[in-house]
Amino acid sequence: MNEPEAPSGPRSDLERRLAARSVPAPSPELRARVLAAIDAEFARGPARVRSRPWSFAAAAAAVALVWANLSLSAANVTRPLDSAGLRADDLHAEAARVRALFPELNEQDALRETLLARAGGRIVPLPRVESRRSVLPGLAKE
Amino acid sequence: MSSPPIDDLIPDLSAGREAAFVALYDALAGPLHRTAWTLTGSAAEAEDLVQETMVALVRARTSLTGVRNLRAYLFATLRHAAAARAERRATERRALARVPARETGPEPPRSAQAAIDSDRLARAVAALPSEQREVLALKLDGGLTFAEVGSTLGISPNTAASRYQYALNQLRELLPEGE
Repeated sequence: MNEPEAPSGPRSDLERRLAARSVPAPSPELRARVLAAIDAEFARGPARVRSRPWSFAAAAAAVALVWANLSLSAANVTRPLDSAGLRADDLHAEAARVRALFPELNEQDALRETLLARAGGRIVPLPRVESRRSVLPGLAKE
Repeated sequence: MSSPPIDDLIPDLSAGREAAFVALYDALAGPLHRTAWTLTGSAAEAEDLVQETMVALVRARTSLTGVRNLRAYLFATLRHAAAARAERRATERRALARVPARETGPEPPRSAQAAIDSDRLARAVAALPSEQREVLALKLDGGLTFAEVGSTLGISPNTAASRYQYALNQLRELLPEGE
């Protein structure tokens, strides 16, 4: 769609009438009122600055609480290797057994497979849930 | 086209120098009030809008460094304030619609032909679709260029000019020239 060009040149009679139409003049008090409002807004500025130390303290306390909470949660769910019964001698012995089964693996790969096997061994899969068409006794088709 | 003297105030405004806000008000209070009156149709609301616009500018002073066209920015602020007020008014009207209307007295007599003409113009402008009335107010009452009107409303200058022409055409139908 072609946009009409911006009108230029002398104004039409209608535009002149519109521009000259009488519009209520602002009241004489408006200037004083607006300047007072501006002044009040500037005066409110320092009050916000004074409240900043409290805001900062509250924010710092909130951050500390969240950090402590997360740290405790992480400590509860983190199992150090030692507590999982992982010892270097056992690990190497298991890796040697893995290499005996798969001679094509080098030592590093065998160690990695051993660690993966141990990690996977701790995963407890969720029980499989199967939907039943009818769970009410007597409603199932014979 | 920008207005260099107005835009020159931006550094002082963003630095929070109160004198710059006073200078800005003195420079643009007239066009702002006129535009606000066309948008609201109420002298009292127009004055409130001018005040709200200036106070909003003071609050946003630290972000004024990024403003390129202060005039367009100021009128955009005014328009947002007017839109917020219109929304509040609509809510109030919906609430008042449940209240029975009170009978009003007769219109005050008007003798001067100029007053009649102004009244007719004002009614015709108020009857325009809001998007056309906004462009008309910003262009004629605010004294903005089409580029500034476009910047204020978030439309292209050509669209602003187009809406302006549509508004004039509609007003011509309502108000034959010379009437």
